[in-house]
Amino acid sequence: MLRINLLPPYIYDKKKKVQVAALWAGIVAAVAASMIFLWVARSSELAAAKAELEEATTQQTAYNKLDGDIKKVKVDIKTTQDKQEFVASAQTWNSAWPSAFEMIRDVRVEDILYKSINFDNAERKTCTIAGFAQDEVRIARWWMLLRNDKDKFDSVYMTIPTKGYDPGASSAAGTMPGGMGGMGGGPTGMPGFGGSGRPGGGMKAMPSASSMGGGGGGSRGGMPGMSPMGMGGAGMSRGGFGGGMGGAAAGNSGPGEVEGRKGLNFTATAVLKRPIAGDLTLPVWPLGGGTGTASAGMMGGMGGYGGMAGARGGRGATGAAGAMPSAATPPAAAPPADSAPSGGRRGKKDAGDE
Amino acid sequence: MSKLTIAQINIIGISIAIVLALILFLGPVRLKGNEAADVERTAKSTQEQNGTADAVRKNQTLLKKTQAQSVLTKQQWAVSAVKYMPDLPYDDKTNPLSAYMFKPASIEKGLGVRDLPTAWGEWITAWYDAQRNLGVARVPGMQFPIPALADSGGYANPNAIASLDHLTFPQDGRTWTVNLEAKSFDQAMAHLRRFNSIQRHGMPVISNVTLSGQSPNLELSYEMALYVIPNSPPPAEDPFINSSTGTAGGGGMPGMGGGMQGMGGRGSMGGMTGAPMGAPAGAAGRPPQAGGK
Repeated sequence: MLRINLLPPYIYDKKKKVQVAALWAGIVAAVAASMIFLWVARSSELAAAKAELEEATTQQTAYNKLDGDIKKVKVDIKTTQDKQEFVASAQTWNSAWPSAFEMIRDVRVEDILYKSINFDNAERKTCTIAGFAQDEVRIARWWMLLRNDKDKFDSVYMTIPTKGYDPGASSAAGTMPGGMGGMGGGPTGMPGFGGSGRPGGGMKAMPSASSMGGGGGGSRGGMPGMSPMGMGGAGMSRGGFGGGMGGAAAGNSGPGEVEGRKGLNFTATAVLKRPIAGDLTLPVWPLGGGTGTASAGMMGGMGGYGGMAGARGGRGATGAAGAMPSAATPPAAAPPADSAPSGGRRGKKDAGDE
Repeated sequence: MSKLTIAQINIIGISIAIVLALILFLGPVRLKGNEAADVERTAKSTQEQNGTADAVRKNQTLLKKTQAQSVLTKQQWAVSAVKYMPDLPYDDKTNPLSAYMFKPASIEKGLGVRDLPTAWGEWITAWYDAQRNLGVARVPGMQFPIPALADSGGYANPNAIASLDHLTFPQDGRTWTVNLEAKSFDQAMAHLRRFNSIQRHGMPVISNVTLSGQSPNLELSYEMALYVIPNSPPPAEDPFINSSTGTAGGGGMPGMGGGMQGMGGRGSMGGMTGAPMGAPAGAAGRPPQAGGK
């Protein structure tokens, strides 16, 4: 049997439309629900991330605080270590000086007489030795010896007179190192110097004293009656380094006399392989303070010595030749004639002999 | 709705669903997601910058180690300090005035910070003189002057002790130029070596050593300074005994002192000059010479 639906089609359409609309409403609701679900999920992610961040921030704060504490303790350690290192380096520094002098003493040979030893204050590598020898050959031999001692010295230079040939001039004049007088350093300090210090010497030593140049030197020579050292000290504090050193370096060569024996004054400049106290710098406390001033004082010191030498130097010189050496004789080297009588036996009791 | 066709209803349904999805996704969901991602990034970056418990633990261990090292270093320094450094008459709790005037220093004849230059000057002179029998002597006139401590323009300023975290004799940045006579080279060198055995008077540093002459009249010269590192920090300033901390106060204090002493002159001078005068409050109480000037 065939079933025949006689109802009009719109009745079925309406029902179908309602169903489709309901389906779409459901779909829209599902979309909204899924979006809300996503939002909630993201919110919980955010909450978790915030919690994580808070924890990380707390830990970081704790870390930073600990870090600050560690830095503080490290600064404390550094301060203490600096003190410790200062004491240690001061001890090393102090003990390096006598060792250096002893090393220089030990390289001396029999025929060489030391008159003074000093080191450049800046690098403490260059040792300037003023000395006396009977003749050039002995100086040259010693020069060779030092030159070959490559473990101790980088270079060695000695001021000995040059020899030219000038038939028209006297041999003495020819052998005198022209440079010496020039080296003389400060014209300023000269006159007052040796001249007034010792009358006898003054005549011959004038030039030499002048050559010394150093301010300190002037004081000593000029004021024989006064405490020489005190005066020298004044000169040292601000004395002319350039003058004093110049004299010492180049103004100390030429004929000289020790204990009545004639010979040759010379200046040896030896550059040590290693500076005194190695790589250390002058220890000062607090660190980094006062170095400049200290250096200034030291420079002056040289000058002071120069003066002393000049004062004494006058005595030994004789005649024209005497004038020359004194003119050329640097502060530190001057003590020759004067100091010899006081007990220095050449080759035995000189500065480097004991 | 009755007029809509099914196709139209489908189109409307699809449109609403898509629009709603887009609005919700691009709006709140995306924003939340972005925020979460940002926070997460920040958290990660914070963790990378030592924001983890592990890093904290490591630092705690390092701190303990560093503290232990600090203790060790201090112990080592304590050995050197006891050997080389003197006990100065103050610590961080001391009254500066008391330290300046009365508190005994643990050295001979020391009566307070203001006596330290005298005590050290006499001691160093004696130290040199004790070596006469060892072949080394000061040349005539060789002295060891030391300028006054806690000095403000010639007047006492006890509060200046607050800055004495170290002492240098003769003075900061200065040295003594020492000139000596030595009988022999060895004696001169022995003298130089003796510096490292000086105890409880600071660490001496010598430099620029020169030697000249012949035995027994060797002349030894060098620069020397003594560095004292106190074992304890200096006391803080006492605002009741000084006016150097304020310029206005500085002017006033001297005025008062002048009045009390009847030294009107001094007092008024202090007031006029203001700050500079203020520094040496002691100047106020400093009677005759001050007023007379």
